[in-house]
Amino acid sequence: MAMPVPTPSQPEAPLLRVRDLSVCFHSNGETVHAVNGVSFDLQRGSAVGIVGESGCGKSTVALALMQLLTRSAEISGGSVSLSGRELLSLNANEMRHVRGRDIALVFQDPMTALNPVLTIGQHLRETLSLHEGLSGKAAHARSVELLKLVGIAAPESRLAAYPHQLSGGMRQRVMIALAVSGKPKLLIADEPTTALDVTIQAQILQLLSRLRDELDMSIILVSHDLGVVANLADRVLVMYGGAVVEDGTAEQVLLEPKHPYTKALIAARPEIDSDRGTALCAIPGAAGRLTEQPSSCSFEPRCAVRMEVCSARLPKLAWDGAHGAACWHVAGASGEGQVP
Amino acid sequence: MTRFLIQRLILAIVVVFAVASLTFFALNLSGDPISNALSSAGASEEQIAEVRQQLGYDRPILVQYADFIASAATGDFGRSIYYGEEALPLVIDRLPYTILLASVAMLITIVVAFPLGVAAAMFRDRPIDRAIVTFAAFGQSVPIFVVGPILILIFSVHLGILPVSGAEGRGSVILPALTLSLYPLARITRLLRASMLEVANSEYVLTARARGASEIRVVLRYILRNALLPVLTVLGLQLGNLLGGAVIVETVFAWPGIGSFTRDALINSDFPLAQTAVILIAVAVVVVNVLTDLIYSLVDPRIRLS
Ligand SMILES: Nc1ncnc2c1ncn2[C@@H]1O[C@H](COP(=O)(O)OP(=O)(O)O)[C@@H](O)[C@H]1O
Ligand code: SF4
Ligand SMILES: [Mg+2]
Repeated sequence: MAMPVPTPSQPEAPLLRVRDLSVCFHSNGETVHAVNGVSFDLQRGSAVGIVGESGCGKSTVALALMQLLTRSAEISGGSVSLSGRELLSLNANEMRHVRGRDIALVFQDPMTALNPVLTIGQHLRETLSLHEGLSGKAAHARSVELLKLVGIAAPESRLAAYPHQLSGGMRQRVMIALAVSGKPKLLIADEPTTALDVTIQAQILQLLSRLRDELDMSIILVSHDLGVVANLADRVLVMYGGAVVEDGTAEQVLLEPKHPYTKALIAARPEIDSDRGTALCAIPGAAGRLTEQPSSCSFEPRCAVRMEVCSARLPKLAWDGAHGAACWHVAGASGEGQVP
Repeated sequence: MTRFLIQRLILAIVVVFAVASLTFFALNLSGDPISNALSSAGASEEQIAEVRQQLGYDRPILVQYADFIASAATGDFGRSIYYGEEALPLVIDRLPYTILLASVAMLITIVVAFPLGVAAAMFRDRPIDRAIVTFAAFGQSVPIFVVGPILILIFSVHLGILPVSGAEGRGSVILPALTLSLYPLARITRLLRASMLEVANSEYVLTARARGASEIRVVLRYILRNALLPVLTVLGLQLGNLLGGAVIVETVFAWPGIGSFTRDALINSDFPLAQTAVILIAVAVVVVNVLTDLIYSLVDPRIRLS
């Protein structure tokens, strides 16, 4: 399928270009279509946020970019190109060299993300030897430098610590230090603050923002929380049912949302200053399981403004400049399926 | 650390005391060693009564018990009725054989089970894994008195490369150790496989891969190192079993270790000798358990001994 490529204003070739990425899981003789034709561009040095309810396929997209999905998953189609290099056709060894060096990943739960039997220093030395060829004094010096970079006080003394001796926020900083140790061009952060206290959350987001500027890194920030994403992202992708339903600059998506799901997300978000969490529960209903590839709007069962066409045909992203939404209410909408 | 050792020492004393008491009553309530031994030898009633009095078996059982515990506490375990010598040196003479047998069996267990467990986990659900899992299930269920004779038939009778029994011939420890290792080997293989598969799902394994760590590094440094922790505990327990539970193997192979010695002592109604052997085994098991805990604390930084 030749897709009309959305080309936002930047003329420069994007750092990351994802086209029609699809992932399904095979388990117990059943196929779950977790990601269905996701496309987006990420410019060098910019940050894109991916938001959506839990289960909409955000982590699957993140892991698919790294090709770190579980055995039961299959990337069933699409293309991922980084600086013009197609990643999906790389072999296992070539892909291993991309990980940590070109693309790095930070996960949600810093409690379980570090090897409990290795010290912080051992973790750092391992990646530094892997990506920078450093060892001995040079590796030690660089380790201290990295811990300092991510805002860890008394870095020298932390090198000998084991993960369980550090707080959650501190561990997440270590994870970030490890992630940037290979000087990646792209950092994918999957719910990096979800497991942390509110105050620590803000610090970690600030840290990511600072590192983006200092290290000239692009960032993909994945979160179920629109507020977290709004903090950092230049562009925002809204996902529902394994597909991107809205894509625009942060201002466009947050201030002039087009898709009913995005509008509901924003309406459901508690006022700033109130505690995080529970934000999305306010949208009635729950996303269905994707045992078949969608042939109609996945949001239709929960949509307050659905029409007849919505349950018959799948809307595609309709673009208004750099702002797209996949909804039959949006002007210029087109899609697939039988006209009712 | 010191506190840990003191605690464990106290616990060890309690355990050994309990084992000693249990053994004492189990034996002495089952009958009178002198009548058992001498009547089968054709002694008269008077002769039996005289020997009983000499050896103190005519006293009330609780008095005998108090005497036994008090003497044992000072290192005096009494005399063997059968050999007429001090029991402790007799038992200690047999200890090296048991330790040799248990060590070789443990060595075989580790050398075989570790690669098998790792291979099974790495090739999960493939033919290699299926074969290993089947072998392990077999190894865990076949009784020793079946395995022992089969090994003897193959290696001693047909191939003639290893002695049938006893401790004299070269390589004589191999067949009993092989037989003895089969169960722990199978158990450790399955445990290591399961443990590795569980650890493989950990987030720190995923993050290691995300940093570009090679597969061999991920398996050895991330999966195996963590998967070994539960295995270590069971290895310690199994070593304890090997030290104390080798009765059948030692009997089948006529191996002169503590297991067959204890069995003979029981058949001869030689209570002092049997008690001494059981107490010594209990001490060995307790020592192994403390060592296991110490090693565990060295390998897992999250564990602090206290
Ligand atoms: N290991 C897996 N096996 C089967 N299905 C999975 C697996 N991981 C994710 N999925 C499916 O993919 C969907 C998307 O999951 P995920 O990407 O984790 O969502 P998110 O990160 O947005 O919460 C889920 O609804 C789930 O049904
Ligand atoms: S396509 Fe229809 S059902 Fe889907 S979001 Fe738009 S209006 Fe609602
Ligand atoms: Mg997720």
